[in-house]
Parts: sequence; structure tokens; C-alpha cells
Amino acid sequence: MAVAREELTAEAALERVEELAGEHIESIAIEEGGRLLIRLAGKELPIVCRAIRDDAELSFKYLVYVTATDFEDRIEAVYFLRSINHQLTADLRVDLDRERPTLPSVSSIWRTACWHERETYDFFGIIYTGHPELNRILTGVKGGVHPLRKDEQPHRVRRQEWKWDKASPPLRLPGEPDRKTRS
Amino acid sequence: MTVRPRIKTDRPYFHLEEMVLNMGPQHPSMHGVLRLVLRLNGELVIDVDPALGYLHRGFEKLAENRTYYQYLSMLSRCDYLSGIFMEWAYVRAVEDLMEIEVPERAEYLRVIAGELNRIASHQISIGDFLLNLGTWTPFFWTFRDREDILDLLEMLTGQRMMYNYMRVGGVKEDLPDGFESACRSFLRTFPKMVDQYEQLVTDNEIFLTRTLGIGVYEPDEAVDYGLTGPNLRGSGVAWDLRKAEGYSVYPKLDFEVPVGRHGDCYDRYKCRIEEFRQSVRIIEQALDGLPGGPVNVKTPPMLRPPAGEIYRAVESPRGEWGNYLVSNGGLRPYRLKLRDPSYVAISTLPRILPGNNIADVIAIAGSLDPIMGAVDR
Repeated sequence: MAVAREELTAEAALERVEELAGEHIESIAIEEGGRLLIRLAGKELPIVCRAIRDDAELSFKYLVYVTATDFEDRIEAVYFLRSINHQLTADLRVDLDRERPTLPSVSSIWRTACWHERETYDFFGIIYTGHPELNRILTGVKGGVHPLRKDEQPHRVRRQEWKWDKASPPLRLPGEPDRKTRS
Repeated sequence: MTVRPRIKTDRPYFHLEEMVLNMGPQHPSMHGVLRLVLRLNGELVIDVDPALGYLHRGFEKLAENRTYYQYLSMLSRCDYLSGIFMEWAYVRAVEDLMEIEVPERAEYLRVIAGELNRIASHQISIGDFLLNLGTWTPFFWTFRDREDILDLLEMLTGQRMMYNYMRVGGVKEDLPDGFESACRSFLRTFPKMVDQYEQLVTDNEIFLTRTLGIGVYEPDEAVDYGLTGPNLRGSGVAWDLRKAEGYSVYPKLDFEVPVGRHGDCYDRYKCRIEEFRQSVRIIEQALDGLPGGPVNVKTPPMLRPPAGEIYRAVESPRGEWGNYLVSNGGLRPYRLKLRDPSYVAISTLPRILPGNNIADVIAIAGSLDPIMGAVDR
């Protein structure tokens, strides 16, 4: 598959996105480096994603990463896309409620999204509805702790988990009297 | 003849159909601490569940508690085989956020260090991959030649692996005395070494049987899975950030992007071998065209980038290594996301491994060249 180098300017791409999914997005702008910044509501996400991926002109077929940022009053979910035909990049942003962040999964649109969404769930606790296996992937932390949220402090988590009474007793060498019974 | 009592059970007499096998996290042929929970039917893999997180150190959270320069020295611990690229993407993000112009000589030095690092990283990748397939000699040969590169990088940066060479606005220091002649003599001998690696294995019957047509990614599928680097180019997609984005001084240098045609383990191996030769070409041109001037611009020790956000990526030996940096104008990054190509490569294993023999698991995982330090972060 040779990668064609056709020219599609960011302005033309912006118009094309508005034409395809104008009623589903809240705002669209061109940022530095010709990056399209698209803000939208969570429930419109699969429609917009499918539209800009399947469109032959835009063909945002390459999802680079999925992540989020915790702004303390809200969580902003980020999807970064590339169109390898046109050197175009696009950023999809969704603002989420911090108490119950929920988004529809896009793992049926780009298969790479599956693990990126698992990671974001692990770090931020965003629930992706329709995800095939939404479970912890990197941290293995239990009990609702999502470590990249701003109110989680790493040293506090570590101190809670370490309990002296659960530590193993000191090793007794052969012939050495038991330290507990020794007076 | 003794009569054995028969136990009444509704299960099959010997339960041979399926078996769960833990490969890793300490398996010698897994790159680092990758654990694959395989469900096997005889020799055949039915299902695979990669279990990650054994090397998770919380790099992204640690960034939020450190100043910009404090964090820079940690980054080469992330993907410990290509530390230059980890630092490079990070300083690119900070520079572009602060709008710092980097001197041209510094960009050339970055390219030299980066391409040397790419050769060293591919040598581990190829040596380890071939070792996993059962050949010992290439492993020793690649590691022998890698020592020469590590000596060069030690001259340049002061460290063999954890470089801390990049600075915001340039590099740490200028070329040391004797570096250029040492580097040129290495560049003269190294292409012959690459030919020798190829003579050892590339036409070997056993090697071909183990790699041809194994672990095939179709081009569309590879893009859909977000593969980058030699893993994507092995599938025939000529996508390289050095060409596509043209960052640093790469547009001034003449090199080719090798691509495969079949997307199997063999093509990925050949792409890496060919990148050896292209990296040698790049370093030669960079040494020839090295301009004079400063290697650094003066920046304050405590950086305060303006509030904003930026994504910058470099073409690391494993693919697109990117940093998404959010600043709120403070002394520390507000959020730093590290986009890792190995993580994406591992995420394809549940799709690509089922249906293969267990011996091919080693070949496929080795040809994808994951580094668990970067996967787990």
C-alpha cells in the first residue's frame, strides 16, 4: 500500500468535517501545525468518528492515542487521529463529568482503541460503554483508585497498602532459637 | 494382572484438549517481563491474554511531581534501549511550547546520537529475535558490535545507556575530541558487519521456515491497529515520521525508508537490517554537513512553559514515540501522556497469535520487538 501524498489543506479538511458531521459537533478550529481541534458531546462520538474515518477524502484511519486530562472541575477525554494520506491530524475532545465519567467506546471503529481505552479507564476511571473487556491493564490497583486523577497522591496510596503486621516473620536459621520464645 | 477400579466421572478420561500455559513474566525469550497466558490445544494457540504491569513505575504520575529538568533524566529509563528518542520527543514538546529556536549544530548532533542509538537498539532487537529462534552466533556478533556504538555514545554523552544528553534548546555539550574519527572508522567497518549478519541467517533454511508467512499483518489491519515503525513498514506502508513530519534536520538528509511486501516476521526483520544501512548513510551525511556554532541556547534552570498543550513525536526504533504535554504555566507538567509504540504492538497479540503454533509465538513476539519498560511505563 503506497501512501499517496495528495494535498488537502487544513481549511479544506475543516469544511469537509463540517459538511459530514456539522450537526454532531460543538466547535471546530485549526490549531498550530494545521491540527483540527474538534469538541463534541460524548454521545455523538461514534457517529463523528465513523464519519471521518470512512470518508475517502479525510480517511482518519490511524488512531494515535486515547487519553484524558483531569482539570479538577472536569475530565477532558482526548482522541488524537492521523490521516496518513494527507499529513492531517485531528484532536477530538469531550468534556466529562468528574463524578461519573462515561463515554461510548470506539474500539469497534479502530481496533487499537481497545487497549488505549483500557489504559484510560485504569488511570482515570472513565467507563467506556460497549467495550469488550474493560478491566485494569497496567496498575493492578484495587478499590476504585485511579492514580492519574489529581486527588490521588502516590505516596499516600503506598503508605496505606504497607502493613507491618502482614510482613513475614524474620527468617530463622537452623539451630537458631526461636526469637519469640527466647526471653 | 491387577484390576484397577474405575472412578465414575462425567469428565473425559484424560483432559488433553486444552491447557493453560503461562509464558513469562520471567521467560527468557520474552523481551523483559511480558507475561502471556496462553490457552493451548496441543501445540496450537487458541487464545492469548497478555498480562502487563510488572514494570509499571507510574512515569506519567511522576511527571506531575517533578520540574521539567528533573523529569528529563528519568525518561531514558522508560525505553531503556533507545533513551535518546525518549528525551528527544520530550524536549521537542517543551521547546515548541516555549517557542525556543534550537541551533542547527545541536539538531545535527541530535540526529547523530539518535541514529547511533537506533543502530544499537536494532542490534538488540535482531540479536535477541534470532537467539529466540535458536541461533546463538548473531546474538554475540550484534552485541560485540553494539559495544562499539555504546563506546561512541559514552564519548558523546558520558553514559552507555541512560544518556540524559538532550537539553531544552540543544544538547548537553559539543562533540568530544576524537569522536569524529572514531565514528567514521565505525561507519567504515559496520556495513561489512551487517553483510556478515545477513550471510549468517538471512538465507538460512531453518530461519526462513520459521519466519516466512508467520505473523502476517495486512496493511489496512496494521494501520487499524496503530502499528508504527518497522512493524508497520514491514506490511508495506511507507510511513516514517522522519519523512512525513520532517522534524529536525531530516529533510536535509538523503535516506530511504525501507518497506516490506508481505508483513510477516521475515519482512520486519529485513526492514530492521535495511535501516542499519540507512542509519549509516544518515550519520555520514550529518558528520559531513555538521555546521559550526553553539550547541545550546541558554535557558533558565527552572522552566515555565506558557499554559497550553502540545503533542510531539519522534520516529524511535520501535515506531512513533510521542509526548502529549499539558502545561498550566507552572513549574511542573500538568499532564504528560507517553504514547508508546510497543504497547500498541503488544495489543495486537490477542488477534495475531491464535491459530499459530507455540513455537511461532516466540517468533512473532520477538519480531514485534516490544520493550516492556516502555509498555508498562
